[in-house]
Amino acid sequence: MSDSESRQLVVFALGREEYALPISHVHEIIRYTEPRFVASREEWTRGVISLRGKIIPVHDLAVRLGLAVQEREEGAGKIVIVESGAEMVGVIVDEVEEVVVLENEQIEPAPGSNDGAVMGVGKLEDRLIVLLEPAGLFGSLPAAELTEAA
Amino acid sequence: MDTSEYLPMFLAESREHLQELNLAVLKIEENPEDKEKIDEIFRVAHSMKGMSATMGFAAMAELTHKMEDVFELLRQRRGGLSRDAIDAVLACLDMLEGGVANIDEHGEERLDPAELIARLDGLVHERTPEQKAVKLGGVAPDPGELFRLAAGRPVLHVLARLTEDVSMPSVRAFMVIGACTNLGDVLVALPDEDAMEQFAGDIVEAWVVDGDPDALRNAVAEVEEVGSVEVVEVDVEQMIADAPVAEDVPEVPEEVVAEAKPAEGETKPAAKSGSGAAKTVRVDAERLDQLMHYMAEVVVHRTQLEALVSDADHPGLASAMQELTRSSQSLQTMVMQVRMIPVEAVFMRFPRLVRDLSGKLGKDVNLVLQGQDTELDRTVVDALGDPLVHLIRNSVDHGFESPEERLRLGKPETGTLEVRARPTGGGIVITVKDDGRGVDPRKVAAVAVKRGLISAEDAELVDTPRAIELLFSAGFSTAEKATDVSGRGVGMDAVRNRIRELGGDVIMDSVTGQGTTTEIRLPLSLAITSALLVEAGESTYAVAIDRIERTVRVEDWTVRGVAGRPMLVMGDEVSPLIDAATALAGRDDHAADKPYAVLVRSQSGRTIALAVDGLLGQRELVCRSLPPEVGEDVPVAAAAVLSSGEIALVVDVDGLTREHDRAARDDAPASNEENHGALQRSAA
Repeated sequence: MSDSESRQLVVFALGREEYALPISHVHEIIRYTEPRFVASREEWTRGVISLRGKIIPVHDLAVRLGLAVQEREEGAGKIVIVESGAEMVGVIVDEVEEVVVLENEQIEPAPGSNDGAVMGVGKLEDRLIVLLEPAGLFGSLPAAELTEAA
Repeated sequence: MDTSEYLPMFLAESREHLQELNLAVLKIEENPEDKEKIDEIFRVAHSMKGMSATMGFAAMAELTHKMEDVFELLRQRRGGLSRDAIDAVLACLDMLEGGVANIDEHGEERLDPAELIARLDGLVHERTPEQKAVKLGGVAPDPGELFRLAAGRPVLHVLARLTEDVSMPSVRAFMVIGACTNLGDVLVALPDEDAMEQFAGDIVEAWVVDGDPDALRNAVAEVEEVGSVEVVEVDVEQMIADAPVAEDVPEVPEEVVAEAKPAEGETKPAAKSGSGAAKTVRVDAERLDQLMHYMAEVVVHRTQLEALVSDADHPGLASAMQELTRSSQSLQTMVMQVRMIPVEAVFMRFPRLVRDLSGKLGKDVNLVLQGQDTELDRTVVDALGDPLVHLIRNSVDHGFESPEERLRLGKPETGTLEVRARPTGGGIVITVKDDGRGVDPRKVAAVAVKRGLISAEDAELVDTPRAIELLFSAGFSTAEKATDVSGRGVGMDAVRNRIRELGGDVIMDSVTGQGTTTEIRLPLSLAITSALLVEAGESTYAVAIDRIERTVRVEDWTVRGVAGRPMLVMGDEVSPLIDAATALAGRDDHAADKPYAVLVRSQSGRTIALAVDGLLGQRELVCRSLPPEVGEDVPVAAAAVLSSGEIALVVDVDGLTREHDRAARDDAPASNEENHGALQRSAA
């Protein structure tokens, strides 16, 4: 089912858009818990949470991608625990929707984006799903390279 | 009987027993009168012997048995064991250790203890039955025999102790027994007639009937060189009931084997001593890891369940879920803490190490261990062993002068090597400190030139800090001195690399002629700390207890501005008052408005008052390092998960002090006292 031509992706909602990460990088999904604030250099770093005793940083994907930050209802939202390299980070999203399989030909390079955070855009019927690059998403890129990905 | 399933347990326990014996023997060498240690030696050796025999390791069992005979000397005479005996016993422990290693590796003990056994036998020859009899002057009477001889008459037991410096014990014994014979009917006498002439002991006993106790006491007391006399009426029937006499040492291995059932491996055999052993349970390290793993799964399942519960609507479900969450979080904390073991596990090796090394090198070294109960994750404790052993070897080999040289230098003849563990705000620090000759910059420079690390011209400029730097560089290792003590190509750079792998660092400081201090600093990541929880800006922070001088109410004292910065004035004590929420979370609050201040002390000895909203109480925290991308610019050292699931940040007191100094310097350029502070402190 999943040969080299296709990718299994975890799709999640952020605002009115859909984003996805390769399932191989998604460690688990937990309900949103308010991270413990720790002053940090990057504005998208919201603090830390404890995942089974391990302290992991939590990043706000909306802030990272330059989206307007919307007030979230109490109890809403999810944190996707993303593995990149040996590190684990939490990524705040609105809702996790589904796991989809996209063929490689369904994926196009992101138009006009030189931001390392976006790998490409997938088309599924009339939906546009932004594929995120786990390695380029946080930390490794200087803040100056940010462009509006929307 | 198939005992293979007990093998891992046997190996683990044997290693532990040997470790304990090593330590106890050294303690006895130091203080032969330590009754508790002697008992411990017997208990441990006995259980070791039983275990080995049960598992079918005959050579080990026999060796342990012979060793027990030597230990028996401890019970028999004052003044402890000779150095020879201690050496033999330690050799014995080494051989047993070898046996354990062989069993682990090859499944068989592969020991040839004959030579050692002969050596041990040589030490205990004094205890052969005949010689023992000479010393005691015969065998204590059999109660049955006494009963028969007394024929219903009351029996008086006369016990005369001869003075310690008695010159003619046999003559005095003769006189004591004679005095008894004059005043009554002597049923049994010790020494008896046969042994009287060779008697060399210091206790004379007689069992007498038809005598007056007071007359007996007075008559015996008048004999010269009698130190004290006791005359008591004995209940012979009771003596019969109490038999067999306690003097009988376990000489019969079979009996021991029968006693040591295989199940002993599971319940701790030491439990009968009651010395804390019953409070601990042995757990396989692998099981601990599994426990951790399963705990993690429980948490995953719990979160899934939580998601389902939030969608369901069933009375009581939500609160039941909350309860489950809370208890599983407590469980989680507990599991983490179970992994903590005291550094004593490593420190235990050192007394033996130092004894052997100093003996071999002709040094006289007194080892002082402190803070053995400081806890660390077991993986860190394991990894600490080799670096510490290396530091100790260095000190004994290169650091300490010979006793003669020390005397010439006006130093105490015995050198002091101190190994100390203590928790600090930033983690745990293990200090290895000697009062030896210290680092000699010229010597180090000479070696460095030889190794091609520096040029001959630069060698002139090498001072102590530079010399220490050189000691730590790769390729310095003093291979020239490859004694079998230190050297061997493993240098200080290896020590530092190892510690850095653990996320720590090594700092050395030395004063030529006075000694060297090496500090191993380990991060909080796995360490457990006792901390005060405080509230600041609606968040919880933790301050390591050992950094806190005291806590005060701000309103009880005066706050004054100095150069625009608030200072807390408490009598003569003036400390900068820093708002915790401002300093730690980048907020902008006013310290003077906060109700409490926690006075913390940095390693440079300075005190800072940290203003907080509330004091929440003391907790034991398992601290974890923060991910690299958070908190780079704020003085927080680590994070700890509280039992509520909330995360508390651990205040980095030294960082806080540095931050404060930096800010103060920016305001008014001051001296660079901070840079020198560190050096002066460690040199002191």
